[in-house]
Amino acid sequence: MFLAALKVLGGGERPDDAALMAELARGEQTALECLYDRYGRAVFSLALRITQHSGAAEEIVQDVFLQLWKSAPLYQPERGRLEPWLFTIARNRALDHLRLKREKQRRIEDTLEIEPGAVAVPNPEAYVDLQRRSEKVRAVVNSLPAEERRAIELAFFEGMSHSEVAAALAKPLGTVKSWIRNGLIRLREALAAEEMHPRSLGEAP
Amino acid sequence: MKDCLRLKEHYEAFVLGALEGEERAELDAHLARGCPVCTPGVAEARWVVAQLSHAAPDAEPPAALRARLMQRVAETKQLSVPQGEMSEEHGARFTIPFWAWAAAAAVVLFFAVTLWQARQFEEQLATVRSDYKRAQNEKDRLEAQRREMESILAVVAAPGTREVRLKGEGQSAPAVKAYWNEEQGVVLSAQKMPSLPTGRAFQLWVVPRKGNPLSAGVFQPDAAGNLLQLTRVEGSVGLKDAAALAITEEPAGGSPQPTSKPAWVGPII
Ligand SMILES: [Zn+2]
Repeated sequence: MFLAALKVLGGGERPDDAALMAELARGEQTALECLYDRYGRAVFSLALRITQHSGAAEEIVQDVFLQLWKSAPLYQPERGRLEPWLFTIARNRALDHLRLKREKQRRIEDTLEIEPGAVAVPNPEAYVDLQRRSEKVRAVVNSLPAEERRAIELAFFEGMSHSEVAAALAKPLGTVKSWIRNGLIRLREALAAEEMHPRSLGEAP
Repeated sequence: MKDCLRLKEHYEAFVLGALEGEERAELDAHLARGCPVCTPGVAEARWVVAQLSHAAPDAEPPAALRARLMQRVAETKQLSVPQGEMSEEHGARFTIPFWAWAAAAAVVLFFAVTLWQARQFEEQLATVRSDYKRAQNEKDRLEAQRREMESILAVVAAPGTREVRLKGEGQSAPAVKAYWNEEQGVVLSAQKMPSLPTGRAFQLWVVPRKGNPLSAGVFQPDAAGNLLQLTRVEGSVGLKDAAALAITEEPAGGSPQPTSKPAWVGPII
């Protein structure tokens, strides 16, 4: 039934997140499959980057999507878009994992191994916009001066505060603050210039 | 709203979780009052910061993960929308300000949530957190167990290890086997050991040919009465100086000298 509905949506056109969320709210499991195919890889990559542990990353992905499934009937589109929600939840959980691990003050050997994932298969649901945006983000981040990029990476992927980043890089606090801010402003402007920013798409944030 | 101009420069660091101290507290308090300028500003910053996720190296999740997820989905009930709670007229709705998103409340504010559900979400998050902790602890426990097993096996298999059989007092007491290696310690092995009163433990002694017994460690069988443990002999008594091994019941921390009659004794031949 859901697949039929998708076809009606227009030959080859993929439903947007809001349409999928509406299906999901009605208990359509196929909608979750579509959302997983769209975002699962990015969420996994993020969780793996933070935790450096594929088992933990898998658990986080499963957890985030399961939470999405459970909560879908309560979804309110006006509260925000799906993608940043997925990333925010995944990042929080991955950072939680990291903090717990650090409390242990030691790294068990296997946590450092990143097991190779399955053979990459072309993803038919891959969202072209998402891919383009993802490439753009990478390009912008890579174009930042090395130290500025490092500061942002420490804050985002390692969950460090301003002063922790400053200590890690042995740089003044003020410098670190402006590096992080400048980098993020650069990112926002680059995305806006490419009309990849929600404001430029005429959506409410 | 002149505060807003100043606070604007903290939006990104705030959602990143990098903002600290007074700056953080000020923006927190400001947003809690529902500032119409900063609230959407922070929401936008949140979008931008979330985009950093794309800077993670691309990795393919294992194919089995999708199947496992869908299996879980098939087994998991969705939350239901409480009747009459979705519309704004029904006053009792619980909202958490948008800015609190980055915290545990992230789940809460993305969805229409009642107070009851908010609590449920918090509980779920707490469960996930403690699951992680448990999994980690369990892993550490197994790792420690594995390491202990390895050293036990090493002692038992080592050249120069002497097996000593300790016979229990009374018919029902099981035999205890001890494997004594002068360098590595004593491995004790037994099944169906009697249970101990709380606050009590068994203590192994080396009884030398001359002088007082030397402690060789305190131990307790597990709940099922199984015993497999590595202990160390205090002092430098060797096999050739020892007449016997003995086990007594002592207070949990052990005693400097035996305070009860040996319950097991094994001569070293
Ligand atoms: Zn304001």
